[in-house]
Amino acid sequence: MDREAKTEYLARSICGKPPDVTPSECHSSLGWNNPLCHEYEACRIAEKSEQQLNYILSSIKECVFLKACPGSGKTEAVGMKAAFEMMRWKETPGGIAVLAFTNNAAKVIEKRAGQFAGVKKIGYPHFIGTIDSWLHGYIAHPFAHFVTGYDGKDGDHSIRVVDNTSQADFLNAFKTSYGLGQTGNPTANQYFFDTETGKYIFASGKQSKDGKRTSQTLKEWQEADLESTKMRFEKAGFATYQDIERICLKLLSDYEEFAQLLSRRFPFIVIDECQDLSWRQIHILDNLRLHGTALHLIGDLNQAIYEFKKVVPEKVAEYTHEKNFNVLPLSINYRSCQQIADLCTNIVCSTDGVTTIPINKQEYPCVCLSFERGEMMELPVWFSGYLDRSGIDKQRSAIVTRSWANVSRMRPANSRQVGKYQERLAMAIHLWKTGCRQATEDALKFFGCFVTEKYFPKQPTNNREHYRPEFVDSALTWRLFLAAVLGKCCQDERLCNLGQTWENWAQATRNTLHEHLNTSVNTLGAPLSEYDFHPLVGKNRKHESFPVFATPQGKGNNQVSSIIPSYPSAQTPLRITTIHNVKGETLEALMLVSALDKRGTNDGYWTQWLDDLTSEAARLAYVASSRPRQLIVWAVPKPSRTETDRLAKMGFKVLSMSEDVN
Amino acid sequence: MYLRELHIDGYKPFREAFTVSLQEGLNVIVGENASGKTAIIDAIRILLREDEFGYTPVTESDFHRPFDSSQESAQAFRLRAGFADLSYEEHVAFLPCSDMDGNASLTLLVDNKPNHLGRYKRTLWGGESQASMFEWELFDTINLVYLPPLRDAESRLSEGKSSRLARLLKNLQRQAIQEAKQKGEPLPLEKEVHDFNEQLSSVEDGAIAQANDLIRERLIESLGSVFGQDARIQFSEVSFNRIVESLRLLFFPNIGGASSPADFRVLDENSLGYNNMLYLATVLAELTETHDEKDYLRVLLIEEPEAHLHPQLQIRLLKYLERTAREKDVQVVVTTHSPVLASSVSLDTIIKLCVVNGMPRAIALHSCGLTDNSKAFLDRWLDATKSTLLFARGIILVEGIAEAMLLPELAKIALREHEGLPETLEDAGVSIINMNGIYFKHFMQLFSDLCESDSNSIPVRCAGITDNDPPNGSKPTPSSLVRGKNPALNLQEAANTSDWARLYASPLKTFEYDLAMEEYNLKVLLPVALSLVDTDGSIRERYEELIRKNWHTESEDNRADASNYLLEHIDKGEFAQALATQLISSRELISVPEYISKAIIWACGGNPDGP
Repeated sequence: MDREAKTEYLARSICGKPPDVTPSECHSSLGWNNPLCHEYEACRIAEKSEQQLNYILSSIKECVFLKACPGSGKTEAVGMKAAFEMMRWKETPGGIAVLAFTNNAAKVIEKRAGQFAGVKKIGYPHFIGTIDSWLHGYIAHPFAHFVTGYDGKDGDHSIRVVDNTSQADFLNAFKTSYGLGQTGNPTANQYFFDTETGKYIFASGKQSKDGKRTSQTLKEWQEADLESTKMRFEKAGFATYQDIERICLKLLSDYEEFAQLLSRRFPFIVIDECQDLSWRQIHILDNLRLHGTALHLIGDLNQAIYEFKKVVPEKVAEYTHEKNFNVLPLSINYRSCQQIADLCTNIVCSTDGVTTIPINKQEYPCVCLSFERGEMMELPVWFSGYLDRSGIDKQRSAIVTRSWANVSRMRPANSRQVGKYQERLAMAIHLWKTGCRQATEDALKFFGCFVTEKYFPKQPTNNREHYRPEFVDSALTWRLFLAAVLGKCCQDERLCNLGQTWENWAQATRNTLHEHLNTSVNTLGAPLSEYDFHPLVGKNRKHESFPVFATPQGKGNNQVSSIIPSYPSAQTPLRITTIHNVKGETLEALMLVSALDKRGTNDGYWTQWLDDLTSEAARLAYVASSRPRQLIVWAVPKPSRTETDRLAKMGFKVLSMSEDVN
Repeated sequence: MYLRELHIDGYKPFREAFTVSLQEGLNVIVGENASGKTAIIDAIRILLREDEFGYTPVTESDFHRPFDSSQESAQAFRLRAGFADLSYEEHVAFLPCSDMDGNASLTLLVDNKPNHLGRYKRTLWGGESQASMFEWELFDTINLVYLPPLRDAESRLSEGKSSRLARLLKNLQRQAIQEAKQKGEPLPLEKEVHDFNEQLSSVEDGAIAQANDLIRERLIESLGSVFGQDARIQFSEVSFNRIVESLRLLFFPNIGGASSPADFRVLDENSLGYNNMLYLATVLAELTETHDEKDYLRVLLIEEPEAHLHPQLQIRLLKYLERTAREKDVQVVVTTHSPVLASSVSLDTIIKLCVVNGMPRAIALHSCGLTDNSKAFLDRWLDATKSTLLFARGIILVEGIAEAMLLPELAKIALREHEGLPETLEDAGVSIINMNGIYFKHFMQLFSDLCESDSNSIPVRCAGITDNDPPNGSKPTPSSLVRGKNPALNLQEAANTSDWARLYASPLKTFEYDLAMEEYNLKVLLPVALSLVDTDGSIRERYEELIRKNWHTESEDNRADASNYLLEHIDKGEFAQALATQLISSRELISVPEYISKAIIWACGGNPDGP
């Protein structure tokens, strides 16, 4: 088939184009009332590149690795592929699974596929969602208890997923019998068995502890201790994300017939962003492949940025090579202008040539901004002004950095940065007072976390629902409760005045907070209304059952508000987030902010991005730099002269904060 | 696949966990009123989301509420359906709802905690874990049809939105409707109605065209041309749905008898029974003929199909359902109070519901350990009279007509001496089943595990009365017993140690003989026997001679002689009939032999060996 024939064939199968008109005639005449294309300038099928059409028409009986460069219209191709196959699907009750790594990515694909297939929601027999929800929903929750021996609770065998970093009190029941390398006894959620290497990996989120533990050479009795603790944990119905993957793998390899059934249920699986697949996930999928499932892996190995989750892109490359996947390219960049694309190619030294379609609208599409050490907080204001002058939409731009620490240097609040419970309460009240939407959400999170750790430390909590303790069965009730208490706190002058000293404020909290808690539960019904919130007590009056609220050590005379970062510009709509969070997005402009120096980071400082072309640091810079259409700005701490030359050679226009090209 | 079991807890009459097992094909649930038959049907409807019921909100009365006000209502109710025999394809479809063995389940949990709008929180999940993937679309593969006990057949077969007839027609045309919609073309039926409407209005000077014009003129005159509406007289709107919703079913009394469509009549001229059959036929057609291959489970629930039908029709109907269930792969669940129905199907299909200590229990008769032989025997022998054993609160199994006739009268005498028990067998809800032989091993297996097969038993008191049957001509007395040769005697030990059954044998010889030997009963029995003698000969003379004796003083042997003579010279049926009449009219009392009175006490719920 030539390109025209392919377009014709797809247009007739997907949108029912009549045979006697061309796609563009179809768009201009019938297209006006077709939800598929009436908002688009051209026929969405005719505008596809030959590469995209080739993929859409590729066989779903064989495994394919679609190498998609940034901005190559990968989502559109995947969406159309899914829709095309769903519309001619004949293998019910088998279905297509399209798996992504984030909910957002899954939603975007589902929306596209739905548009093409002409349905609002894609459901049985197909599935579009995250790989975790798929693994959990189809394999782990229904069947894990066959492996773990969990007896269930009231006839329910669902797994309760526990974060590696959780320190909830109930976890004390799942401590190992013996301590490990002077780091205490790890709880079962802080480590997992890596099936690939046959080693235990420690991942409590506390780097020094994990490092010490991982570096130990484990004796046999220590491994037995870890294993039996883990078994106890799982038999009680708990598991970490890594445990779940291990269990899924075990289910598929131990229960041949089940693997066969699941493969029949999903004879065709598409994985978006396949470079993020872990070794275990690859093996789970491979198990299905061995039973007949065709896998389509789609992604860009240069965009693998989850090394900390033991994801190494070489694994995917090896795997697709070893199993003879049919490799198809998507190498036309529809997003960025040529300069930006060239910069990206340089960063990872890619040999796959990238052609771009857009023409640059900016005189300098690649800018390097040098800033002084103390100026990081001001970057958003500068960038905001620069965008205004360049006529770029701020809503569709972002500032990103590697670490959350630097994110919070630039934005007011982030949960990971508030370490102490006193600060959580103070932040919650501060944010609630500001009244804006994102702040409200953060306030609830801080406050939920605070209440649970003080009053319900023994309860497993649902952290995504504002740390809702399990005994409260409604997320809504919990949220209403938190909001009610925060509302009262913010009307109570004793509590909401954060200009006072820590000592006074802590005293006020001990005196009043429990009243607000108790008066707020009345309207909520059982089980919360039956709970009596005791007053918080000082450290010296530590009472067995009363929770402690102490003045932070050495800060008694400081103002509470001193911990609260100020909004650089309260009204700036600019999104400030991490590199990982903009993965897969298309933006107009992006500012990538380097760490101040190399201390404590392997991949956050800008020279690290350039030192090793095959490192994760390079890939991080690549992911960030390939997002924008018009403008990429690297913000780096003042570079030396040679460094400046190096940057300029790469195609950057180097500026300082006081300079402006516009 | 089929619905193999249903667990109910906290729902309506089920205070404690209750399980009923169902089988493929036909299931007939029998039981007295208020034993939970309808609640079982409702549970299936809620769980499998039957159109009219599965979506209605839960109300307070759905939770079990004890009549004892000191106890609290159920905190929650839980309904769980277990499905078995999934085909490979079904197993694939229901994968997250199933276990490793390929049995699927569906659970609904409703907490008895209404929110301020009075809504109850429902949690529904498939398989063993709440958090498993749940695909609501799978409900589309379950085709459940429910027929209520009091069917309004007439309105459901007449025109209107809730017309069952329209539903059948729509389902039959589902494919064609979809295709036509895609092509943007009208269906043939729509086209014909459209053409017909055109014709109606195009007949010039016709009354319709004329009426149409008159109406339009008045509308324009009264409302003006701005606010005016347009109007048109026609048969119906020309969409397929509207056309079929305006169709109705007509009938003619015998098949093929009508010579033209005009002979058919509207349903309100038909009998209730036949309307019910028409309704049923429509629903069955929908269930069996309109499914596509993606219907994994088809269930038909019928409450009291006997409504308005005479016995022969009832039997035909149930036989038909049994066959349809088998041939068309539909699982049919029927509740009934009709002994006619119960006796017309295989025992294997019957599920008996009873209430034990206020708690409903379900016993599937196929789980009662009947041997194939017994099953075949009972299936052949059960008729409408015998099948009352499935509805009674207590059973007395007897060998013949004499016991069947006399026992009600003897029971009145026996029950008089027992406080706390009802006065008559009727009051006690006890039925006497005349087996016409000594077939205890077949019947009694239902109530006790006679062959030690570790089987279920119907939790209803069952007593059997049998004869000792010593060799012919023997005249046993209490002081010189003769060993009987009745094979049923071997069952006594197993029966009498069971929870629900007791088998009592006459200690001497047979029912009449033992009755005659009891105390001074000959004084009453002999005149009755004499009254039945219509010849003047040696028999009459012998009776007259015996009557003259003083039975208070005669020896045991003489009484045995007389009893034996009596036994050998009566027609058992006639004699029993006459004796029963005599007992009622003369209020004369006779003594009831202990083994009979024990059987009566047991069946009525008393303790025969008690104080």
